[in-house]
Amino acid sequence: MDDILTASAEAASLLFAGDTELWSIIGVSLSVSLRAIVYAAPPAIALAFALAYLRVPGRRLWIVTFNTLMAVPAVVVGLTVYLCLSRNGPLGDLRLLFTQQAMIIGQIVLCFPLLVAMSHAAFQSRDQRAWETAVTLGAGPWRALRTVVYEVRFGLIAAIVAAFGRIVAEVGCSMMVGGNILHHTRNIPTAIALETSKGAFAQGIALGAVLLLFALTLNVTLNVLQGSGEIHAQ
Amino acid sequence: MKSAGQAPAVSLRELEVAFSRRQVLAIDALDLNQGSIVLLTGANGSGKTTLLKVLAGLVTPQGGAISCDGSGMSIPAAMDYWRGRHIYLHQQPYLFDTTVAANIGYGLKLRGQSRVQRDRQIKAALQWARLDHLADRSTHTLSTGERQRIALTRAKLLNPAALLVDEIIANMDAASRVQCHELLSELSRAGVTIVVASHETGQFEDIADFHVSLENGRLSSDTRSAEIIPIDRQQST
Repeated sequence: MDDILTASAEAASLLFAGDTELWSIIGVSLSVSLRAIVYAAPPAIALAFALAYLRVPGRRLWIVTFNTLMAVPAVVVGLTVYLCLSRNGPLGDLRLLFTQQAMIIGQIVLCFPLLVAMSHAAFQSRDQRAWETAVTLGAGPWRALRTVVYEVRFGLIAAIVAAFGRIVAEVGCSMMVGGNILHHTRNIPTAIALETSKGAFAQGIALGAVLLLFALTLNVTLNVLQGSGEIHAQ
Repeated sequence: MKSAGQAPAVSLRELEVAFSRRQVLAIDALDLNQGSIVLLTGANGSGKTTLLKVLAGLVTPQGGAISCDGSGMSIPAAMDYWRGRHIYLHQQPYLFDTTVAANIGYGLKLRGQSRVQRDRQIKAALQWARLDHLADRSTHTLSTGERQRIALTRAKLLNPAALLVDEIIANMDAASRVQCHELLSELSRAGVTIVVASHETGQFEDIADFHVSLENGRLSSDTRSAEIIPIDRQQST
């Protein structure tokens, strides 16, 4: 018990003292995961919309596939991306392995099925009437799409929050394709795994606290937005 | 504004609609005159909603010939032309997740009107429909009858060429029905062609000019002979 208390006190001092190594790790985590979400969300939401509203060939197969891919462990995604990016892999010439770009690719692959599945569920929760009403009142396809996206905004925000939560906390994929290089590809989960294996719990606890703070901030924000309904986007 | 001798506002010939290779609509000939109120009846699944959605440009037919105000048009051109001009009202109208005033002004915003212009028209429209007390209310808090009247007002404000109303008064109380009839009659007098779908003939006979009946996606035998049957008010009252 004393060890835990001591480590927690050290963790707090690391955080508040502005430890450069610690904050570099936090910066890498945020930068990589935010970029992955920014790149993945628009096409995933567009695909979810198409699956919900348009006559896409093999629609059911697509939906089952994305639902299945949500359950694939991060380490399996990491292995797949690693094989693709390794020197002898199909994308080996890009020389992306052990870079932040590789981590972003891995995290996109990881969160894309979750984004599609949850966004699709959000679009399906609103029936065809939202689209038809927008069109019959004179909206073109893009304007009608914007209107429907606005109508399901809370479901889409929940999808993005859930996807961000999945990638910011995953360790398997980032470790395999990023290589856990300090100041470069070491993010919060890989740093926690490393520090814990060395028996240095203080940094692990500090980083764990930051992850918890991320999760809390995201969920409080989502809750506030849903509660007040004050996103004016139309 | 009832037409006499002028070309029909909408003319459909040999119109066919199929979903997944199953034919759901096959209209031999149907003409709709500007400013008329047409009562479209038929059992559930007879094709009433599909026909209304075709007329709104929301469902594209696989075949047929279409004329608008006497001019022939290709099917895709007619669908484009009708969207935004022929407004379809669902049986349970969809209101966007915002205030009543923002819902009413949605189509005006699409047409590029400024906020000042929109606010003025929204206010006038809400007064016309006697709904001005609801302007700032969220649509979540409205009754079914209020939602239907708001959808009707939202459509009216856009000066549509045709209003396609799908069983709209099914869930209305008596007072709302009377008001809805008044609104539709007023629109008709202003030259708006109105098609009202209902599975009961009695609900709109007092305001309708013509009666069209559908059976299994086809105009029923009594309707087909004369295309559309004028309603004799003296007989029906």
